[in-house]
Amino acid sequence: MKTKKNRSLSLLLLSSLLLGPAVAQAANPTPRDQMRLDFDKAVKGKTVAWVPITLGNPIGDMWTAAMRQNFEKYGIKFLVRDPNFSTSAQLQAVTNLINQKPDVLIVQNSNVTLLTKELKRAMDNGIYVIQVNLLSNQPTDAYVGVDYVDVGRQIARDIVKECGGGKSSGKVAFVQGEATATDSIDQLKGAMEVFKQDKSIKLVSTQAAKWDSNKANEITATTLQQHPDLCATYGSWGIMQQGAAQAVKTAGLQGKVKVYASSDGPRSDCDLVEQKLFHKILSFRADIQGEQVSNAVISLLQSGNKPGSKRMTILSNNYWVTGKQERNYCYDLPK
Amino acid sequence: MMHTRTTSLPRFRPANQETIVLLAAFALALLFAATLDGFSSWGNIMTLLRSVSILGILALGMIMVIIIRGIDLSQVAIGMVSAAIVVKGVALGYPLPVCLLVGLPLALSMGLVNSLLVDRLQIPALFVTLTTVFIYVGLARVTVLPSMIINLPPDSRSLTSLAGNWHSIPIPLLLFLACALAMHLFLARTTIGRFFYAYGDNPETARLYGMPVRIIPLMAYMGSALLAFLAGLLMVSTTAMADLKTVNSTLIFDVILVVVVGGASFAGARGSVASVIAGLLLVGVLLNAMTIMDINSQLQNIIKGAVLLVVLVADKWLYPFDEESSRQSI
Repeated sequence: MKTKKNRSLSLLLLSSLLLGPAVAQAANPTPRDQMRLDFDKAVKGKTVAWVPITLGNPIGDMWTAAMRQNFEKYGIKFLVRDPNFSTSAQLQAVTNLINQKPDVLIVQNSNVTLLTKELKRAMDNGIYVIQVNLLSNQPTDAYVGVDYVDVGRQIARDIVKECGGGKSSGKVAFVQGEATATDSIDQLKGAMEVFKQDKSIKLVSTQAAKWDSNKANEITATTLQQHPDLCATYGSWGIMQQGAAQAVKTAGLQGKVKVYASSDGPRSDCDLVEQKLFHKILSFRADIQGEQVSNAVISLLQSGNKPGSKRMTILSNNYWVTGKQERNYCYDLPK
Repeated sequence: MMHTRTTSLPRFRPANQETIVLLAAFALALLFAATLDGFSSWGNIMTLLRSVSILGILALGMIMVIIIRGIDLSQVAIGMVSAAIVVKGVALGYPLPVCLLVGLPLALSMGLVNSLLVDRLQIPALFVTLTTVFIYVGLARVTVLPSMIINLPPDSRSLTSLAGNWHSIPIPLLLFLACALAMHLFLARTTIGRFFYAYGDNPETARLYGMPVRIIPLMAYMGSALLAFLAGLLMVSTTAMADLKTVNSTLIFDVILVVVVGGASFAGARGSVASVIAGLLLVGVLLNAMTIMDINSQLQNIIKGAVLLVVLVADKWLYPFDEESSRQSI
């Protein structure tokens, strides 16, 4: 009996001598190893919920694809809801998701008021909230997106450079999305700041095409009849402005009327630049924004902040696309 | 209780709504020609007519359905889904004729489903077509059209050439005129066309008279779908892309606005190609002038709504309350 006990003790001693360093290493990882361990601890198994305005259009699909790719890599559970342009469906989706208590909630606001109460409730319930591309009246943990007033200024400056100072008729048409949509209003505001500084610029039309390329086509065709000497048309969304570009082509004014668009960078917008249907677009690249949103999620999860306690803003960069050489500023949707 | 209606045909009415609307459209056009620079130019008139051509083609389909006391709220959905499938096929590299041969029967079968649900199952057309919008678009989205926006490849010119001009006359306008002429001949000159009015006035009496009452709704809903397919293709040709967002737009209400303004009635058996043209000209003149004047979209909606209200009041005045029709209309 005794001998057997002694043998077991010596075996234990021997094995602890041999395995000791390995165990100790696992218990005390190097700072380099620790980094990944801490990261995994903070993000792995967490749940992120995402409610865009709609899926099925390039921008929504690109954002979602970029986020999904990142979250899958890090073991984050990803919930997506598609309200299909319905504000009531969006509100309902957000309400239901908050009740499911995800760790992070990401929303693309339909307008500045719709989700304000729910976003506050989410943060009160310990959920980090990120808003994409349109900040509501309720600031949250993070805003990732475009500064649309600045987009308006940048495009207007280029229009003034090409049409202003008596170089042309100075006539400019602005094709809005919805007259009540904040991104359209902000772009027009930024553009007007710049246009006002050049007396030769005349804004001849500010019609709203309701994000519809057919409507943009009709409006632009009518404007071109009134003002065949139009110098530029500026659309607040690339896909909608494609209708305006076709109207310019049908009127035989391709190359004479400069078609500008603010763009999220879908491939079709760059194709139109290459076909000379668009003069220039200013792309904010939804693919990069998808990465920025993913980074904001990971930062918040590691921050240790209480949801709603701090605010962070990540602005998108804008890239001019003027020809084939800049085609990398547009994205192709992953298959 | 029965209230006898002398006849359902507008030409026997004491006042004729499409004439009034047509006169109103001309009066407005004269007013704008005098006050707005460039309104009466040839170019602007062609732009005006081009912009209402697609609406007009849809309205020609809608009037067939409204005459038989039905309605087709799924018209824009049918047109956009079938045209988008054509664009998808072209984008995948299939030849255009093959894609058209897929899109056309698809559009017709959607019309067929509407007609079977309305006629055979006797479900009100309003509910059937409101529901089938979701079914058609939903089915397309989960199967072949995951994206709402499908671009035509830059090198496919055959479809986009439909949006061009023929001797400075827009091709969409010529297509509308051809459809309008065919529809007029069908509704006014063929026996089956005349039966549409009889069926719309009273389907039961039409059946007792031995009219082919099974065929009539079938033709109306499939005709509406066929014209929707053409309108969808024209929309694609105008913008070089298919945009399923159009289904969510107010286009279908613009179509109903044109048809009702022109003199069709939800009580059935009223309206003709002339009423579509009258309604179309009034709406076209208004929209064109409001765009030239750069009136904001809220005010445009108010003006459009006010015009519809005036017409509805005039309709009430011209065609006083009729209990039987009110009960049976949609």
